Amino acid sequence: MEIVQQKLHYLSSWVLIASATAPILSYAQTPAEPDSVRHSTLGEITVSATPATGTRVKADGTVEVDNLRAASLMQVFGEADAVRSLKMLPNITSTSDYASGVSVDGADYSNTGYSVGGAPIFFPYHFGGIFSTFNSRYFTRTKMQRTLVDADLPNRLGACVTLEPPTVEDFHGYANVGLISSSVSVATPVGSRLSVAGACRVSYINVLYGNLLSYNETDIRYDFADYNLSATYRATSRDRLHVEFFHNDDHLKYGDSNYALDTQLGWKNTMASVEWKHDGDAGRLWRQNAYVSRFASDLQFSMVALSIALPSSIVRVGTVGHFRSADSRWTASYDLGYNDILPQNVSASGFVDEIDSSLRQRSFDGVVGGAYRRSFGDWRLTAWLKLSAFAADGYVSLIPLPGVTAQYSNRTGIYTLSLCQTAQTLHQVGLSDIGLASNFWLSSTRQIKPQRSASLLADYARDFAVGSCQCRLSVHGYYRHLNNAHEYTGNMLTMIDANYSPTANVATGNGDSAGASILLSADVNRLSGWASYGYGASRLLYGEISSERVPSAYDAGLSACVFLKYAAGSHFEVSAYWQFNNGRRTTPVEDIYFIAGNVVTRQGQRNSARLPDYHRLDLSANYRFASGGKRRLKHMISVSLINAYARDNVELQYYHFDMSKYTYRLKRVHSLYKLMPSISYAIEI
Amino acid sequence: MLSKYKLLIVLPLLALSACIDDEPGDASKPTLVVEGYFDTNGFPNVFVTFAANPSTAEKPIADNLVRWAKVTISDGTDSIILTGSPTKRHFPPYYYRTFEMVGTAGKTYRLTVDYKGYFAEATATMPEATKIEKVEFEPIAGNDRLCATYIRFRSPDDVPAYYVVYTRSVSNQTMFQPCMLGVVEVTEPRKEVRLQVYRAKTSLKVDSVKYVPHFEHGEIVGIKLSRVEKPVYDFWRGYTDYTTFGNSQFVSSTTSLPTNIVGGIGIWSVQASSTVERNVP
Repeated sequence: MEIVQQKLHYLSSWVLIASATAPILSYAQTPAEPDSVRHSTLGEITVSATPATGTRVKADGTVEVDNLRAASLMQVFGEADAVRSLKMLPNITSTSDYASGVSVDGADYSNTGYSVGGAPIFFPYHFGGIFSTFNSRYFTRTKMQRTLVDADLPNRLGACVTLEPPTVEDFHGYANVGLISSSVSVATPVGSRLSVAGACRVSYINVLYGNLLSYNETDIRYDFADYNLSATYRATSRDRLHVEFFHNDDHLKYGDSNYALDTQLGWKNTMASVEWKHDGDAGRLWRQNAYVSRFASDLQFSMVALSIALPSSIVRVGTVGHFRSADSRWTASYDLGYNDILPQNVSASGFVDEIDSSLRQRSFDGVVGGAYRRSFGDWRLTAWLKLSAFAADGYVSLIPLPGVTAQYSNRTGIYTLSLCQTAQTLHQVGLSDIGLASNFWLSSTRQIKPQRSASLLADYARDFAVGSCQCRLSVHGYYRHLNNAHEYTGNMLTMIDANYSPTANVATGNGDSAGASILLSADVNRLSGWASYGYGASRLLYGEISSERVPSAYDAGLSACVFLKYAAGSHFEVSAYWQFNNGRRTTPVEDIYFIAGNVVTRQGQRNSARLPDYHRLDLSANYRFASGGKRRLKHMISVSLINAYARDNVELQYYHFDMSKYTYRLKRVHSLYKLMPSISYAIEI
Repeated sequence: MLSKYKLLIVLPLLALSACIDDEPGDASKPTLVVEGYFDTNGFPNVFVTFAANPSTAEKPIADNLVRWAKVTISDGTDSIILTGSPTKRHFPPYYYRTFEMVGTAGKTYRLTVDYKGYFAEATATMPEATKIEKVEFEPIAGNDRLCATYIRFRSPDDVPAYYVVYTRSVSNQTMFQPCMLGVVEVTEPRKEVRLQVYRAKTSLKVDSVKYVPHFEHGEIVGIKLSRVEKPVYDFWRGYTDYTTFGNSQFVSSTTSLPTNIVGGIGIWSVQASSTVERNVP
């Protein structure tokens, strides 16, 4: 909880003001009554308010997204993605329109963990970057933490994104119909103790946008569905049993006639968890859950008679616990699990020998730890110590993970400094630079040791007013030293070798990443928004790949964004979001030449160049109205336009031979998102 | 490979550029590209060019041709200087050749290229050839025009053995080029290998022409099975991976092709070859 010591800002409703201050006012106005009136001493008051934009950057860099409010923020094809809300902030990026993943502070995509109902979700993304990662309307709140104090979050090197399941007080239903997907979510109490909630989403982008997905020699077909289900049973006023279920199923087909190559990629996440929560006396909390989470992908290549299938999967069965003391100063937590991993189960036919190889990895890992929080006047200190343990095939790793956060608040603002050590024992590597689901998970081994990171995070936040405009200035800086970063070094033909082993094709390196950003957010009357500017650099040294330090694929460079939302009355609001990023890192071409009738290239230093800069403007407008009698129905029509000025953002480039001029020519494959309109309708009860 | 019509464009360009200094006009020193082939019982053919770079990419490719190099092949006993001449059957359309040296199994051949301060060399040994025992054709279901083509051969006793398969369309008068997925390593002695062979891919086509991997009924195809040394195999394997799977969003490739050329890039492909021609039924 964050203590608000400054003057209240970001209150979007007088009701919130009244509810927050009423206890103080009522307490202050209470006269000296006889002993029949109970008196209480208020030790601490916490007031949190959500900005009009639905996204709040806290003083320590933690980001909280109110999913319901963010739903009206920036609808894209009828979907308002909480994870996209995160990506609208500095130092949180994807490197491509088609990328599957989020890089926080220059970290690898796989260094960002996701937790739903206390269980990890290994790969929640969808293809193309336009679909909401999760069915955001089902979840109440999304929280991204850069500093992982407690051990009950997925053991990742970077940040953790937690999605809070719904709290059901009353019947609630929501349905959205858009041009590329539709979703429905329902939540209702059942009796006095039980409540259930469910949501479902399906996409049909091929139906209306199929032609758009066919471009020159390439043809893309994609669809997915995801499901959420939960039930909460209030056994007592202090005990709650919560069951959570999640499943997604994605299918992608990609054809390229230049290569007579058809690619199919399917992936699924399935998660089930049971959590018991006990609210003890005086603020004690005990939370315990058991879960199973599975991610499976199946990448298939077919080219004439050759077919290669590369299924992979990871199943984790675990338990997570969290205990908080009465004064909220002490917490103890753990995450213990068993992993069963098929990194790549290669089968190939049509190329000399039939190949059918599999490698299975089984491991135990866990993190246990404790944290202590204390305030001293204007200072607030948090110190923690965790222990990461891993065991598999006779290999054991024990890594202490200490950390401390110091926060100082005064009239000039809130200053936060964090130092911590993190570790990650599960790794995701593969052939794709943009983090597609074809990248597979690997367990640590003697050769592929746990990744480790020592991090320094610094944040400054200050709320201030300029006339009637309420503003917040946030500054964030980071430095991470990384050990045992892993990169896949194989290629397609490597995989169909008879003696192929995925673990034998992983290079290990060390490196550093650093960056800083500034974010200014403001609310004035009907207008709200923010502007940000950031820079991030990341360098790695993989001795097997290069003798020099090279930029990592997540070296973000410069980034900037402006987001504005204007509420024109109670029915109508418009939003505009403009983003700029230095182009994605790419390995430059040094030489172009012919061999045996084909153009080939010689590459320069890995990742030492960039694609052209990326920028685009997205526009969105929502119109709301209500209907019905006693039970009001809320309607919303959303219109959006992606890449409103049709910027040709480059996804890929290569050299080919121009037969008309007999010269080499640089060929660029651009993002398909160009002047893409959409309209959707949502109804809520 | 190149149609006669297109050659009518290329050859005049070549002739017009005869008086132009071959070295590309770029401040940075360009890289010498050597592409050489030497088959059992055959004669060597060597192509020498300069690589383009992103700043010179859109200049005429004729600017990259090297036509006055001193190209020498030595077998340890004799040393022969090759003669340069234009060719209609290959791109780039200029090569160096000789009829005074015949490829012989067991010999080691050293290639040197000397041109205006650029010097490149490569050495490779010619192994014993492996015979193509059989060529098989299978109709393709649902297609009455195309046919799948297979070769059968038996690996030698001295394994591992490395092979590169070339194909050509005799009917269309193309030259031998490495066929798609035409690299194989055999580690088991006396093993019978069945390998599907395809039409070679080429960059020398307009975008609208789709690549068709199979040969057509009635087409006369040439198939060459070439046994090579490991460094040569590594090059062609990297080449196959690049041309087959390259530039895909799913499969990124950031590595360059290996080379056995010292002082340049490319390949000196000394190969023990067995060649057959068949009419696709």
